[in-house]
Amino acid sequence: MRIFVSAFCFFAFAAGFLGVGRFFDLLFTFFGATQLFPGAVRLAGGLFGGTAAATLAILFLTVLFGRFYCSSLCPLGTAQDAASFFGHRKGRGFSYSPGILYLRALSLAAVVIAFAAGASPLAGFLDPYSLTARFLQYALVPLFDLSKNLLAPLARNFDLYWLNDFGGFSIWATVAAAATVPFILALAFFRGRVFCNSLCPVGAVLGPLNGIALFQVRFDAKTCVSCGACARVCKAECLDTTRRRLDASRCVSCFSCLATCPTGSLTYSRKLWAKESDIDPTAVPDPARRKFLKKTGSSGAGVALALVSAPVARAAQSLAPNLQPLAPAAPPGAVSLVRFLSSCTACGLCVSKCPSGVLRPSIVKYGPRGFLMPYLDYDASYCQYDCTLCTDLCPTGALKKLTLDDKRLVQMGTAALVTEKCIVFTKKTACGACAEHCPTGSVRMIPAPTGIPEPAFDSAICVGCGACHHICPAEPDKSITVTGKSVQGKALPPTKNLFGNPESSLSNSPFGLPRSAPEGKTPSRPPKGEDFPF
Amino acid sequence: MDRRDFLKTAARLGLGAGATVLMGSGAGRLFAQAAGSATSSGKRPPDLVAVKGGEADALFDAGIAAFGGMKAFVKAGQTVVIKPNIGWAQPPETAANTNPKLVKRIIEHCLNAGAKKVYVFDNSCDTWSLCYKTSLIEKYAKDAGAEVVPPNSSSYYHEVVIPGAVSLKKARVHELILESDVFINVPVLKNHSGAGMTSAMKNLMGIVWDRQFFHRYDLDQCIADACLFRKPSLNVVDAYKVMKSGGPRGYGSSLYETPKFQILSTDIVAADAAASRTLGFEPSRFRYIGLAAEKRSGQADLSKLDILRLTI
Repeated sequence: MRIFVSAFCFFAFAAGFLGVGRFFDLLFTFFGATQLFPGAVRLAGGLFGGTAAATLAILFLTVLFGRFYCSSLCPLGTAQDAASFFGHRKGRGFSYSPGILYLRALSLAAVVIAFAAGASPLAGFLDPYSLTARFLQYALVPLFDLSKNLLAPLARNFDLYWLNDFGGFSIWATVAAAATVPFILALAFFRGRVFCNSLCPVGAVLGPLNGIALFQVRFDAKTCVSCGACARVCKAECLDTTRRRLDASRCVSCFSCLATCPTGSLTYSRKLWAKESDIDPTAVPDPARRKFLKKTGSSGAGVALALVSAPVARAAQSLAPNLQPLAPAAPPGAVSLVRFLSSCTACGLCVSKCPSGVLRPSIVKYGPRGFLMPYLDYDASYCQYDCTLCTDLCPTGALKKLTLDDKRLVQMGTAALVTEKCIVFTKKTACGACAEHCPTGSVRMIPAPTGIPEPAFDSAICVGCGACHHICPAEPDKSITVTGKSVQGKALPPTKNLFGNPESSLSNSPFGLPRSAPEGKTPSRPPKGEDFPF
Repeated sequence: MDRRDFLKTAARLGLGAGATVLMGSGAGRLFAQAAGSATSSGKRPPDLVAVKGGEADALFDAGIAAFGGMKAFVKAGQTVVIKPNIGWAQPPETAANTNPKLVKRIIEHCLNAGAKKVYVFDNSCDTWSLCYKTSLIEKYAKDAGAEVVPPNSSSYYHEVVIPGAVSLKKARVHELILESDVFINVPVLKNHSGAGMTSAMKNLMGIVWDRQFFHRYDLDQCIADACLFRKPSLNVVDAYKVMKSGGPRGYGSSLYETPKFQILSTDIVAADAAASRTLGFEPSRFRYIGLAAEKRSGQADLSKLDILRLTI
């Protein structure tokens, strides 16, 4: 039953991420929203909607029912279970290990420091959600596309058009994604949930919560016969049958052990406060209890360490090289690069879903702190004026949710027009590709004495979508290019442009508005056909 | 040889011409004649039909009837590719794309005429998936029973040589244009920042993969050159609602007129000449029309055309 639930959650997550169909998109909206790490980032940013609300609910439920998040909702958890299933199916069992709990405290501290230091994309190397999402987007999607390409000639017979150009493929993103998850899965293959209990920042918080959960897997040392059956199936390696105890802070609530116990010593049950005094003082000696407390406290220590070092990290951020001169354009709703670098975990969801493909993972554009963080690659495509998808989807709130009206005014960058490089001037032939694509009319073609209309630009209504940059055919250098803004601005509404309102003077020129007097002649209309213009 | 035999022969010739990848203008004319002879009256159909005064789909019903119905162009078992303008992620009320109702009606006529398959595609400017969706063309075309084909992979475009071209001597053209028996060009008439007007000839840019080439190497000349490759069997210019300024994408402040107008012609140059008048300009105002006429892609002089004007 639990395996079914976990598998279902995992496939809903993966299929939704890969964009298999609308049904899975809906499922993904639900299961994607249950991810704790992005929810916590959202909470930390003072946002309470979406994943943040789900995070609060899951934390509350964890205190009641234990670490079900790790066993069922976390896609990386399920993937690890699958790996450890294959690693342990041939009778090779697990065995107790004391674990390395200070590691998870360090991991938690590292994550908090990364956020404080404006290197939140690096925290994504520890967050199980971001790790899984990156793996799907940068490792599995290209593989999926490649196999579709191979099958495309067959699919064509059924009027299915599966070929794609791999336009946005980024080898370094793929290498980074393909290195992490398989490593974690290999760990799981040999040692079960090692990652969850020593490296995962989410586990570092949920572990101690599981220790105090109302319902949890409980171990009755009095009835235990130390047969070791439970320890052999415990992928968290937290059941010590020789000393007859269970490290609840590492138990992932998978319940695999319950059915294996021949004496019924293991139960998933409510804490029985009345029987507290009945605990045999010899069976659970004080040192073990102190050790348990220490383990629980390790996460607290991690948080404390992080809180202490956070201001230092924040101070260090100001010393980091200034991004401004070469900064690429960040997606809409990023507000500023400083904010974006402190809230994006580079999970790649926006990159995966961006319909135009303009969002690409940065390798060096943002510097090392922003590795894999999305930017607008105008050479690849341009931001679609009437689209808010990335701001709708961002699970961490790094991209602020925007209404379409607001998004249409967000200035992600600014265009610069260099007429010396423009085809109209260099080749003296008509072009107008920039004006054609500009959604706000900030680049327009205006009549010129040469008869070939020339581009003119109004920066106040430009939103930096990059349409002009993308399409400009001038070679070797484009004549119009867009540079990112490190602090996003607000454009004037398109109607408040420099060019005046066409309503006032509908020209006799087919090329928009005349610079001075209207040119061209009124067409002569032959008498025949009366109402007809010809 | 009786009339029936003649029709059969003519239709076979037309079919052959349609299947020929490099369909020269001569074969095109032959095909047009074969089609024309199928009118109910038995006399040659008009060079150009202009219809006004109704919804876009009703205009087409009247217009195609003047050619003797869709059977004049589509034979049973043939494949048809319809190339509307789906260039922009703009809703139908902006008239930045071809009227979806018109696309739907044309598909229905093709299927009624016995078409085996009707394909719809356009190599759009904005992101294709958003264009297909926002324009409503995808929905209407699917409802009518057409295959709506994504244009987004360069691998579906194959390099062809364009005979007689001055600038666009080679181009990668979508395989549906190369393979389909019948090619119906369904542009929307609009103002255009680069070319002045976009209509039937300019719409052919969307069958080619590399649009930037056009802009890079003399836009007007390339538009004219593109007509030398495969001339559409029929051009249907949607001028139901016309964007008079701010084209081709359209801004909030774009000006519109709603002439409820449609132009149908087998001659792509004639269709554009008539379209320019509809937009309020002499055909000579647009350089590419003259260039195409010089290459004998069609007749730009409206006075030399047999025009049928219908008001419904």
